[in-house]
Amino acid sequence: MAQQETVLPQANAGAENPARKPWYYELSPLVAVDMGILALFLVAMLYLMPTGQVADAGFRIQLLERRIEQIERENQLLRTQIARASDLRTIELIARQDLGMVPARRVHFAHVPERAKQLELPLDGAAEDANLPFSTRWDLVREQFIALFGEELLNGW
Amino acid sequence: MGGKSMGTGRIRLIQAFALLGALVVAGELVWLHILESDRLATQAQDQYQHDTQIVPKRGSIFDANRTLLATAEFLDDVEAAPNVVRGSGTSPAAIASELSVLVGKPREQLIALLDQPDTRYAVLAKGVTPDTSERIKKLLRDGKAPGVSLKPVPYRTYPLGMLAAHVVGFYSQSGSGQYGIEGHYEEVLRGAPGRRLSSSAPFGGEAGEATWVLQPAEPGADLVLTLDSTVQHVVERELELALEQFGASGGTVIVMDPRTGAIVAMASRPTYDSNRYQTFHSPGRDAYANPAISMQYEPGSTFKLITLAGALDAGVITPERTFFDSGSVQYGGVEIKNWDEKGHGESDMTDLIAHSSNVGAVFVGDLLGKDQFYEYVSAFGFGAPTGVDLWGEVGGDVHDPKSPYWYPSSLATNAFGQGIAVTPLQLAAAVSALVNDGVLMRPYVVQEIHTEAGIRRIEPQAVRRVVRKDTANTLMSMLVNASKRSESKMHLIHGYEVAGKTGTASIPLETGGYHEDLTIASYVGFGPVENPKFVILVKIDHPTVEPWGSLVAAPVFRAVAAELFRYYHIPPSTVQQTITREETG
Repeated sequence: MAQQETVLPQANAGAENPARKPWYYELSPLVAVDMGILALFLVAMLYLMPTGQVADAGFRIQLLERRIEQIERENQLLRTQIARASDLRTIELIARQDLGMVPARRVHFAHVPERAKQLELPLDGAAEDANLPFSTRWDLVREQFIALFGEELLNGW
Repeated sequence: MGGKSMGTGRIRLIQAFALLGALVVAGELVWLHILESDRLATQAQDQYQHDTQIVPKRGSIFDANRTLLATAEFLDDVEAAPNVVRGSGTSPAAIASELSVLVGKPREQLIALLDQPDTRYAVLAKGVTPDTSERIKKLLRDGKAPGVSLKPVPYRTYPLGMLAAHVVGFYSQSGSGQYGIEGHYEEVLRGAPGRRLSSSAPFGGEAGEATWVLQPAEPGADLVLTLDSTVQHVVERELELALEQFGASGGTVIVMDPRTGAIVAMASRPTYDSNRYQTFHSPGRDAYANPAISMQYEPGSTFKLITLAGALDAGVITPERTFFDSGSVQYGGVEIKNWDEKGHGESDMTDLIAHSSNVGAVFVGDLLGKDQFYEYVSAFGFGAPTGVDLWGEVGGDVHDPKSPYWYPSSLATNAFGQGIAVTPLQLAAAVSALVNDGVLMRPYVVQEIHTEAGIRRIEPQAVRRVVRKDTANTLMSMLVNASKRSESKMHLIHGYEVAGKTGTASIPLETGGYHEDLTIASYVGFGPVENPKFVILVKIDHPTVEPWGSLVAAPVFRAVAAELFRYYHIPPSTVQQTITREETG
């Protein structure tokens, strides 16, 4: 019988010994209890830690939201102050009384058809005029300057 | 052996206790967080959390250039907890002394508010300025005002004060918009409230201010108006100058884009400041109603344009049609005289406008006939609200032949604008229709509604064609020629061609008949003639220095129109004509 057991086929050499118990069967009950407590602790920690982190993040979010609200209020306050400062009644009063300004009673217009055609300028629109690119405006100013003072002075700059 | 087994027994006992403890903790966790979770959470929330409403931010109102006309400004309310003040060791009198000057309230009044031991909440001042708020914060930091706190509260504010107050309206203490845009667009501006959960920890600290937004408030929409605050300022300035110069009790000016119906400026006097509207309350008079849309008047001679338009369109007259102006005429048993009681002899239709002949208007009205006359009056929009997006518009008062108040003489008087009541906006819109090739546009004030979802643009809306294009153009030519023929040159502007019609209307008495001295002087005109950019209506109530529209209202038209030409960079008519000549070769 003993001989038969020693000549087991090679293919079964790696098979687990059925007589051997799993490793946790060999742990003493004390260690098993310790591990159980540890596992419970870990589970509790795994639950509590993210909860704490979420609470902390929530608190930070609230602080930031409050800060945003405060900044938005300050922004609104500044907008209102700008609007108050742009009251034309006050501006006109300062212009007339403090600065001695007077309203423009006449505006002179010069019609330059060739130039207008060249630049494709609208002939009578203020709204369209406001959309002109800066370079085009500058071109007009430059030409006026040259006409008044000559190109040499401009080149000197 | 015995000692070893005893030691093992002790260890097992300790382990058993530890296991038991762990099981208890685990069980408690399961109990609290799973089995009883909902009940305990609700109980805890009830103890320290409060479900409160988030007041939505009311939408702002901007003019066409995005200048702020109305907005919600957060200002601090100064609050106090009198029970905390009592336990703080600082006397209410000392706190009141510190705050009295800052909040502008008598010290005794503040002491009375603070010295209420059983009260937990008192409002010491509402909406203090940011400067005052900063000073109070310093007091709080220095510990000089225990139990006092600041609470930011949204207040409706109108940065430009009185400017366009009748158009903008105001936000009342009852918590809703009243009059003007504020009243008409209340639903749009208001927004929808949200819900907030706020917690208060038993020991205070920062957790005491923690909040969770359950449902965010939906802010009200921002509105962009067609109104231009610069033009509005010019209009208000010139109106005030005219009222002062001619000793008038009030007036209205409207500037309108005739092509679209957009209202560029609308001003009336007397007016009010939307920020402190309560102080303008006047018993027996609606101090907040917009006279441009809510108050009707007999338009007088400016209405002759409507009579002439109807007659031209119906084909009963041509510009060359003549009549004999004897200075007075009998019609329907009533004698009707010209305003100057003078006759002008043989006159054509352009003369009728130039001399503002009542006799001529009666002649034309009679030719048109009562049925057609009132059809045209109705088509031009008189007798019904224009549909402008402003609060409190009235429809005027037109008595047609079906009305029990209509008499045969009504056709004659209505033909020159008496016995018929219109609003200034109705007349401005009707004249705009003539300038706009005969198409009546719905007047409007809001051009864009900005919400979180996007921008909704309000497109110009044609109501109907009231006269044919050639009729409108013929009448406009007649008006231009009449302006040149007219003796009054008060409306003329150097370099620019403008045209319009004066009106000097008698004021009906409640007891019947008309007031002997008081008039309403008006002028409605447009410019520049070659490509009209605006229609301006000027109405001056009860001028005492001069009664005539040509002397009182026409100069206001001229001043406003001249400013508008400069503001919009509109070249003089001579330049425009040169350009046209060159372009057409």
